[in-house]
Amino acid sequence: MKAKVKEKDIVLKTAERVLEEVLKAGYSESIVLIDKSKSVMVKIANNQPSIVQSWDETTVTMCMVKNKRVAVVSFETSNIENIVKTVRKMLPEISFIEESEYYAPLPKPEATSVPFTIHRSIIEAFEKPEKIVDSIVSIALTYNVDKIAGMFKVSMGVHSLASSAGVSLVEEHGTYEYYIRVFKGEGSGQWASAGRIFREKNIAEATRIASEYAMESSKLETVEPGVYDIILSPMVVGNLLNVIGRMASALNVDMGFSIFAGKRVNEKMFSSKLTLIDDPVNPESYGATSFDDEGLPTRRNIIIENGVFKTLLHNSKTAAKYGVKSTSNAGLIVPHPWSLELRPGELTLEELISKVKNGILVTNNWYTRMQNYVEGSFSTVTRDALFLIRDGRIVKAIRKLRIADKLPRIFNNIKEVGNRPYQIKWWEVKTPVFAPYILVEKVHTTKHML
Amino acid sequence: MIDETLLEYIVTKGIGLGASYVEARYHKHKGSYAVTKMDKIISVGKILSEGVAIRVLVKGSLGFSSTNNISKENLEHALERAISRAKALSYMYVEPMNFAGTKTVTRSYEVKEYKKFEDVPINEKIGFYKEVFSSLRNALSQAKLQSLLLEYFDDVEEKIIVTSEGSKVKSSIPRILIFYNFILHLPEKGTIQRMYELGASGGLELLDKWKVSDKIYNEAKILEKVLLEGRSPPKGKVDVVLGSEIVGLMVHESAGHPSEADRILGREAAQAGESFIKKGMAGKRIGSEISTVIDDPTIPGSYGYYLYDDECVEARPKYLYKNGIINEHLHNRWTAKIFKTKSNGSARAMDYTSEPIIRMSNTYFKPGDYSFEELIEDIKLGVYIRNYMEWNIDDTRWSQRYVGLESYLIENGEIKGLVRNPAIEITTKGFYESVDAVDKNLEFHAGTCGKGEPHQGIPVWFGGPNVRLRNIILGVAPY
Repeated sequence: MKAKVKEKDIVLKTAERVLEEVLKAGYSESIVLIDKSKSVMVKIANNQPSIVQSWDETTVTMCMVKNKRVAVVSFETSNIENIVKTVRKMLPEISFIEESEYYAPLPKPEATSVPFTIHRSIIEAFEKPEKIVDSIVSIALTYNVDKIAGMFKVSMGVHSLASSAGVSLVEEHGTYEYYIRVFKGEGSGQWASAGRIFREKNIAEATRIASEYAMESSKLETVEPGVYDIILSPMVVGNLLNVIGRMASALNVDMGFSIFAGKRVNEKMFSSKLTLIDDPVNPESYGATSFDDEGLPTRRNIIIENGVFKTLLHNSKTAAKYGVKSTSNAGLIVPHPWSLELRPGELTLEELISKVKNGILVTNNWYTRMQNYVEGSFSTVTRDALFLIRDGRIVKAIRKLRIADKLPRIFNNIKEVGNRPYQIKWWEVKTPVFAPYILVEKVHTTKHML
Repeated sequence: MIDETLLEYIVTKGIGLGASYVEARYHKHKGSYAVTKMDKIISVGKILSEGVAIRVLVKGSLGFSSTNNISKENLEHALERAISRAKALSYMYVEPMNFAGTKTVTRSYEVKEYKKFEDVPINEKIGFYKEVFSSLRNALSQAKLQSLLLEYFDDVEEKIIVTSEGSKVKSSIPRILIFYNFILHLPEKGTIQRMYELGASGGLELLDKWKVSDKIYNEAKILEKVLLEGRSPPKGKVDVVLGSEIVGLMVHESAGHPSEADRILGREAAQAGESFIKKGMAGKRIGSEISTVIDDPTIPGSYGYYLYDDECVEARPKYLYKNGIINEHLHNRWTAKIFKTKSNGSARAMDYTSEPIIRMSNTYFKPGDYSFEELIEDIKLGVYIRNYMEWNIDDTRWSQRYVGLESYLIENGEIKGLVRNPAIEITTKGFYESVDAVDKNLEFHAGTCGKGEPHQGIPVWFGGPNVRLRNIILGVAPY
């Protein structure tokens, strides 16, 4: 315990020392963020490990301001002297550029939230990833599947911030991330689990869901593309909410990457079933953090409430430009979500399926790409198990289709929301999402024509 | 920089600790960037990443450890971590890993910056942003410029790789990347969006060559016309000519990725997926006689340039598809062993935090000898799709979709007017089998290819000439 306190102390003191050097060099304002972390990841393929990777890293990110000119530097090195030298050398370069339209004075210290610590379960998992991987493979192979692939990762570290506005903060972080893909015959299933607290039952559940989807989709039939009512699994919802979450960043709106461009607060945009929240203070979340990159205490922000647009995500720079208060989503330059959440409804998956006359259950997707970010036209490719639903029942597993539609239509056509959220984070869901299954009406699907 | 003898010490020590193979890579990126919006600078900055990656093979188990604290003591810890973690998992390997043999080499190479990044302040490097903004505005007659984002990045990547088999390769490669995104808006017609990247290896002299303002001016002028005049693509079967930008992306997605031997063996199954190509499919037909796709890291000045890969294997051109036949896969030393061949030098790592994995470099469709006019002269009804925004492909690299941006109607051998949002959705075999003519206008385009866990983005070029496809049914986006 003593050693841990010491490390936090050292990291914070280093941030404060670098800040002092930056200000001594002649910058008028600065934020210094230092993160020191260690991680271990085991990758699995063909029922065995394919590699075990370990990282031990220090990263230093800084925002420096001189006469409203803004520079952001990023260093992945432990050589602090080298960092200070580079920052000093950069000062004359900055004076040649023009004032940033996103300049705003750095936020003053505010009453801070209780910092997060590393949960004991994470420390234990870090010490024994081999045992956890062994148990994953054993559980999956009890399902009589052909093969499995996946990844298990545990990270721990210390994150500190010192700013010229007088903020000095430090916090521990510890997380796990897991996903598995299971293959059986023509079919496959994939699921994920992540969080701040490691529980073996969550790993076992993700493994079970992926295995069952693989088994149930081992024989496939072809259906014609067209317009279907579609149930999207939490994996798919997570992927699409990542797109929307990034679009809610005020800077992305200004840069031309958002369907929120030109929208007014309190404008009805989507189905009243949709409430989208960014919640970094959820102690279960992989993305939990008590302060943002400008040192403001984080908070739960409702982005969409019952289909009504409530707020963009801001740091102090975009907030100043929009004439609002920061939502504590800094990003030194680009505000971003920490941990997204779609408010659950009341129906079980079985009840959702029972409401579908002619539709499809999509369990996973990948490769979502936009034709136009402002209009939200996009397509995404389904992968893993896909089931045809007729008259309220799953009738067969089917081959891949593509969803090609507009994001505003998809979110406007949400008819029902499931009652059980799953925490999802994986390769195609970078920001953790707590999402249930959802039922969307009249979704366009396509397929190759040759 | 690092003292090279430290890397040599680590590989020797690793063998002493029971590893059958050790590789230590010092890997550094140093660069600067600027982001501008419309005619304003948003921010500028610098990036430095410097550390050591250690990879070990212990009892058939692969271990990797990475750190950016490069003291001797810390590197020893990193080595011990890699070995002990790999050892602890070795009992789970049903098929222990092994590497194919390769020549031992000692080489050093670099790409020259004729105008050095270090010598020029950032405001001068990005000095053209105001010109880009005004030329874009000047290009428009009716549409409004809703958004313009311009990003500039330069980077010098330095590596020293030492293996326990006695190889040592040093390299230094400077690169520039320019990314832009603009949106044009007409209230009654909606919006149209263009994103593009320019990238290559070399110094600041590349900026003089690229003429970014002229390029964006021309694109904006045409895209405004697409907004104003673009019609729906014709229904039924038509001939389609695909421009270099789409052809390049198509060969990257549907020849390059499925030819990655680690993907074929299922190593990426839980991430980017598998391949429709299975072990033993080399020699099978996938397309017409004129369908040849090459991956070549040795093209001077290219964005995906290297001469030795990150396992110290010499790079060379690989004919992935040759005259319509699946010919050669992309290999590292592990896949080469399983395929009973030699590595063809395709292992690349993004930075010191990354393991070397099989990657493309510069992948292109081999050009033919037609002119563009000859390509379209006998087309009665068709569409020429010059570039795209939306694209994707399934995780076995079989079913793909590309949505055109600048697209034209072809009637009786002539370009006639503009078409809006044509979507081509086609299988890999469907594409390569339908190609019946190829022109001689080879162009390359830059991209950052993503793969691996953790995700690694690496610089690549993809390219090709204009190609003609017969009897294609086009869709229209979004549905």
